Parts: sequence; structure tokens; C-alpha cells
Amino acid sequence: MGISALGTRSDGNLTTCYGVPDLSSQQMNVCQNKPDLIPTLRRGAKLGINECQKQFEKERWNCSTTNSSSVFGEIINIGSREAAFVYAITSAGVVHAASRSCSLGNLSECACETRRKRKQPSRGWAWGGCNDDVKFGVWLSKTFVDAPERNERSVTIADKKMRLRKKGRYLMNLHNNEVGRLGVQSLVSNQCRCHGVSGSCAIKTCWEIVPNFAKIGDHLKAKYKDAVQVVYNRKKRRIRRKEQKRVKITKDTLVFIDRSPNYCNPNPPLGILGTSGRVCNKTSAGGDRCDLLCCGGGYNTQVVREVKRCQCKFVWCCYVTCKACPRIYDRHTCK
Amino acid sequence: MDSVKFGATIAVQECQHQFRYRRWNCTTVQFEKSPVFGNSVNGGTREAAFVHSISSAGVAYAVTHSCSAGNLGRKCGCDQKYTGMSDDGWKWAGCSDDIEFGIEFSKTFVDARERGRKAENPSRVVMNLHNNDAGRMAVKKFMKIQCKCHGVSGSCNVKTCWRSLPNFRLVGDHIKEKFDGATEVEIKLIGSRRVLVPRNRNYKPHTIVDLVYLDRSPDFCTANPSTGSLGTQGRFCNRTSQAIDGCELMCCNRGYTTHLEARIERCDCKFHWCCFVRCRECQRRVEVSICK
Repeated sequence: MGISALGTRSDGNLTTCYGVPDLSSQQMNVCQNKPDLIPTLRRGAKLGINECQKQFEKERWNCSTTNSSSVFGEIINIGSREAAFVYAITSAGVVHAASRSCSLGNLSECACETRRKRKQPSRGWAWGGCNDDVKFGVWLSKTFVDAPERNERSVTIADKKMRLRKKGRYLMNLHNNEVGRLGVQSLVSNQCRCHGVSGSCAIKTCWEIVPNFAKIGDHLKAKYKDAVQVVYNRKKRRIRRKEQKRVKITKDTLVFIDRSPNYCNPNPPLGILGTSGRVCNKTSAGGDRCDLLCCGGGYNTQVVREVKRCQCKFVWCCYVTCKACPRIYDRHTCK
Repeated sequence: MDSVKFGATIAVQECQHQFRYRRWNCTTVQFEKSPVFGNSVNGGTREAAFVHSISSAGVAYAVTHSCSAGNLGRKCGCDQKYTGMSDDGWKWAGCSDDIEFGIEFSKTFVDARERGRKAENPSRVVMNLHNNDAGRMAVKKFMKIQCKCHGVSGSCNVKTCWRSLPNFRLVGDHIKEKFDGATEVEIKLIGSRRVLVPRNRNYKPHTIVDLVYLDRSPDFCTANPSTGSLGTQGRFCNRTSQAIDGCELMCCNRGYTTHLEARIERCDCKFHWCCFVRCRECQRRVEVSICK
């Protein structure tokens, strides 16, 4: 997961990939040959991590990152449902960031997407403006994010069980990366603008944009819930469903190999923090309900005093005055 | 004494209902041996807090109930405080449950045991007394007013009301909620008095209605007679649940076996004139998971 490490580096203007842990040689090559891609890759990785944390904010595993080189801790080495999501969202993040960078003119490799010959729409509007270059985004994600997983054939681990495990894991990662990319592609939409007199739509041009990244997050979160457990088929060198062996795995289904740990108790070697101290909600219907989040262990209550600005008024001219409204409420945290 | 026994029984039943999906399901060795509370759960844990609380609530409840039923002879009866007209225009009538008597009785009876054990473990006694009180408060909190209309053809020209005990399930639910948010406390000596204070000063201090405990609970995964844990081997679990009843947490990572069980249920019931109901027996296959 070298790409995530790129996303969490705090040094502002990273222009080389030296010192970024866990990058494969192919990834280093990309960095060296096309250094102007680095900021985009970083932004992509960051997008992915931030969205992951937003999506999982209310669950036992909250996509927390550690200071370790593997970013998410050793937990990512378990081929779990959560790992599947992380790979998909990171790969989607790169597609998104790169596509936007293209149309913003930040990259020399690409610009507004024009290659595709589109049928002109029959009436009412015309293609125009600048399309986000999703194709380039997908290409970049494939070359950079997939790179470490492409070694499936060359895995040389003496222990047979470990070797097969690793091979299976590579295929799992590649599959999930692709799910992430497909997610972005399927959510590409048209944005239009009217150019008629006083804003009327006599002349209308439309162009393609990648969606808001939160939408991609929601899409992949739904895929996470429907993820399918798979096993590695040694003979055919591919993965198949663990149950219902014959049913094909569709391209937009997230897959995982290992069952998830329960994330309740801290497990420092794995980088699991446990849910102790997490804020929970007594009445929520979601994953942050206290009995769920705290794994039945109960919760502590703190009285919190919060001061918010309220009853703000605009005063001529030109400032705003507000009152300070204190609010006192009970905050529950898992024991 | 029968009503005390009844109180203990409903307390045990309620405890087992509230904890049916948890690792500790209210069936400790000690508890079975002596359903009439007291040394039921000896520790200073959250579970012990619940047991004390629900037991003292159960006794208050049962005694109050017996009073209204007239089973306790001249000692108690209906609550005589509630007579005359109410401000809302109805009349106090019927038999108001005398919860005050039930609470007083529970105080003298249940708490007496604790006070007798002061020498053994004085801190534990303070904790138990607090939780006993919290249980009794729960019953009082849910006392309700029930009314009946006596007008012509059921109209409410004449309305009489009385105070009545709540469904004990409400009390159980409430005490279970207090169990979830129970406060970990320690004993502080103020003069010669032992006072319970939160172990972590940042947390909200408990009030008279909250449960408190002194010791952290074991995980109840494996059998251990000294903590009253039977372990979770052989317990049913829910394969699809993420919560504590789910196989993952219930079985403590030991795994579980799943098999299909045939259950016979009545189905396609039809009402026949007049008057009986005929049903067919249907076999339904249910998936059952059991902890290893």
C-alpha cells in the first residue's frame, strides 16, 4: 500500500518519492520519470483516506491511521472486508484526483479529454467545455496503484501455504482496485451550462465531470456491505467465491479472503486500537449506538459544556454580532 | 415471606431476560443455589450491581402487589393517601398500590442483610446499598395512574383513578440501561463515613438512581467459579449480528458450529364458527449456531 504512505506524508511539496516507505520499483519509476504526477497521486491517496475515515466514523473500525509505514497498521495485511474497502477507495481516489488535475491543466500528460468521439446529442445542447479525463485517471491508477500487486506470477516464498496466500491476496487487491475505478467511471455525469440571453437555455453546452468524491465513498460503502468472501483457486490461478462456487464474481463486487477481527479489544501488534474511549450514541440506529460500538462493555458519561455562536445578526455596515450560547450535554464514551 | 420469594423470582426472571443475549446470562452458580438474593453475585462488578438492584426492586414490587391483593393482612393494604377529588376533575378510587410501603419493606428486609455483613467487606456493603436504592427508585419512577370511566354507556362523566405498579419489564429495561452506563467508583473516607466517588473525576458523578460498581468485570468467556462465570461454550449465538449476541463476540473467537434444526410451529390457523381455531402444523427449518 505504498500509495497510502504517499497520502499521509506531511511534508508540503514532495517532489520525489524517496523516503516514502513501501513503494515498489515500478512505482519508483513512475515517480522518477513523471515527477509532476506526485502531487496528484498524493492528493488521490489523501482523498481516499479522508473519505474512508468519514465513511467509517461511526463504526468499530474507523479507518484510523497509525504512524507505521503501512499507514493503517498491520491490520491491512489481513485480507478482510475493511482492507478491500481501503484498496478500492484509494484506487478511486487516484482516478478522481488525476481526472480533475487533467481538466484543471495541472498535468502535462493530459488536458481536457477529447479523444472520445461522441455522437452529438440530437437537440437542445452541444458538447463543449472541458471534460474530466477519466481515462487518464484510470490509466494512472492502474499503473501506479496496481503496480505492487502485479507480481503475482513471481511470488517466490518457499512456504507453499504462505505463497498461495500471497497470490490470493494480490488478486484480491487487484480486483478491489478495479472496483474502485469502475465506481468512479460509473458515476461520471454531465454538467451543463446555459449561455442564452440573460441566462436562458437557448444555447446549452455540457461536459463530463467526475462526481463529488463523497458520492464515490457512499457507492463503495454500499459495495463494502455486500462484499463477497473468496478463496484462491490454485489451478485456475484466480479467485472464486467461497460459497456458491459457481456464481461468477461481478466486476463491481468487493471481495475479501479473511474474516474480519471484531475490532473491540485493542491489539497493538495489529494496529487495532479497540473501541474504548470512542464516543457513542445511546439512541442511534447506526453502528455508533453504544451497545454496538462498545461491544456490550458499557459506557462512561461526561458532562460537556460547549459554547456556540448563535443568534447572529448583521449590523450595518458591515459586521456580524453573535451571542455565545452555552450548551450542556452528556457525552458517552465506551468503557 | 411468600411475597419476598415472589419478588426474588420475578427479579431472577427479569435478570435472565435482560441478559439473555450476553455472555453472562444471569445464571451463575451462586444465583441458582440461592434465588432469594443476598449472596447471589458476590463480586463488586457491574453484573453484581444489576443483580442487587433488580432484586431489591423485585421485593419492593412484589410486596406492594401483595399489599393491594390483601395478602399481607393488616400490615398493609391500599395506599390511603390518595382520596378525594383530583385537580383534573376525577376521583381517587379503587386500590392505589402502596409503593411507599413496598420500598420501606425492601429497605428493611433486603438492606438488613447487607448491614449484617459490614464487617466482611464494608466497601462492598456501601456499593450494594446504593444499588439496592437505585433499584427501588426505578419502581417508583414508573408508577402510573390508571383510570376507568363509569358514565352512561362508557362515557367519562364519572372517572375514577388509582395509582398502579408498572409492568416489571419497564423496571428491568430501566435498570439494564443504568447497567450499561454504570459508574466505576471507589470508596473515599470522609470522617468515618464511606462515600462512593467516581474513579475518574472527569466523569459525571452518579446520582441516587444510577448503578455503581467497584471492580471491573471479567470477560465471562471461560468458566470460572470464583467469578461466577459459566463461560460461553454451548451458548446459542446469532451468526449475523455484530453485537454481543453475535457469534463473533459471544464465542470469544473460539468459533461456532451451525446446523439446521427442524421446528414445528402452528400455521394457517383458521377460525371456525363457533367457536374454535384450527391450525396446521408446519415444519420450519431454522439455522442454529452454538459456540464451541
